Amino acid sequence: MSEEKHFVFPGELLRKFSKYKVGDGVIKLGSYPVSSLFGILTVNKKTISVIPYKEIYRPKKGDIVIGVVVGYGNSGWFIDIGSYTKAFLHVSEAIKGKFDSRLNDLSDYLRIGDVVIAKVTDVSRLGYFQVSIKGRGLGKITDAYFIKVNPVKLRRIIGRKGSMINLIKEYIGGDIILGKNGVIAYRNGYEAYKKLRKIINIIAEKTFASGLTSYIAEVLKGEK
Amino acid sequence: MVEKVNYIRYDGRKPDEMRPYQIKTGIFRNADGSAEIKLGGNWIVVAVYGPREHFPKAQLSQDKAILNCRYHMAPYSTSERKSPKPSRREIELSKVIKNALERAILLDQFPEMTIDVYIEVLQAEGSTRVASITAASVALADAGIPMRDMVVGCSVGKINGQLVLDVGEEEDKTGEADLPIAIMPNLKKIVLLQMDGKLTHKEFKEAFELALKGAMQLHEAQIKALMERVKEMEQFGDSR
Repeated sequence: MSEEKHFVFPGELLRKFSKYKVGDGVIKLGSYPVSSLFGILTVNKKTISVIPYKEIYRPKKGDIVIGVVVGYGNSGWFIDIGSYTKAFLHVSEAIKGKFDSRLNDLSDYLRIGDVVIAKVTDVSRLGYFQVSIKGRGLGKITDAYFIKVNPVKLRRIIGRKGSMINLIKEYIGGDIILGKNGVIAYRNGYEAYKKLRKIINIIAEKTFASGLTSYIAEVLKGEK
Repeated sequence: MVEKVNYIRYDGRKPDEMRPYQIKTGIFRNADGSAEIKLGGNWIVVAVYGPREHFPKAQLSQDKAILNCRYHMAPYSTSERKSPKPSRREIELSKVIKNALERAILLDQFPEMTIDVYIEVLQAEGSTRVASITAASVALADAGIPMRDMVVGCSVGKINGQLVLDVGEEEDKTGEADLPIAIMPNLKKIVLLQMDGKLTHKEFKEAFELALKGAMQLHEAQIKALMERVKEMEQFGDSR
């Protein structure tokens, strides 16, 4: 993170980048790209995009998310994952075999308040989306601690090519699951969880600081 | 541009001088985005929520988000107690501000959603509508809502035949004309233009130029407020 961070504002004309493709957070008005968010400008090969400094999670197909069951529908559950709308989990995407509403109730499988790791399977044009908990590593979790951060911070928690997350795994250990919606599940003892929470909070606070990975390495070494 | 430069106003300002202003952002912990503006005696806070699911479902819009805007004056904001009930003027201003902000927000990115903007005037001293728009667009940027451009407003009045920038309460009451505008400064588009009283064609052109000058000053303050928020976050973190 040695290069200078360039902050852009909504409406800022990016004249220099008129030949680039527009990515997230950039719109094209006339012939020039214009930033539509307040955040940091990033140039990746031929695409420019703006990383906002705060955002609400927007689901994409294939994302792994962690959410809470908040309601029952006719044929499935509603799951809150901190996005604009609630996700829908159809019963056929949750259980093996057939579901018969005369014999079983939805609450026999998942109850309100249960936490699930799910995969986004479908996002409609209007932003409604469906999730599935069938698959490896997916499903209800009962034995983990959770940390919630803004989804923007995940980029820093993972680091460049996973440098930060590997560093954390090396020093703290345990099973870390990163939900794309900003929820982190952690399976290990409580003491290790407290350590991890402290580190995550430092990263979340200093999202825009440079040289963060080396700083975190120092903190971790000091702890050990 | 302004002919009589030695004209002194009731509060000692020059004709083309703004009242002291300050914009702050990230003032509320619970709202998605928030901002505060102090412009002379004006003190306005704005909170932004959303985008969120629209209720009731029967009234949602299929192709774009709905912007809800509430402009409200506190009972203690004016010199005489104001009834907290929304008055005719407040309902009108809510609509005018909504129309101005709608031009800037990319509502088509959020079909079937709602964005709420709550504007609370804690203290009023003239030109509250343009100050509200200025603060609201900072709050929207703070909430991370995509916009074509920031929106910034400024007002110009005419008093004793003299055009004055940033009309205060006294000038609003005794003046001959009043011209609030709101613009998108980078795209150079007008999103709000109202006029009260009479101006000649030539005066109108001059007044408009003067208002643009004031708006650009406020736009700089908007950007400064957002940058300060980043610095603050680096030091103290997101939790507030």
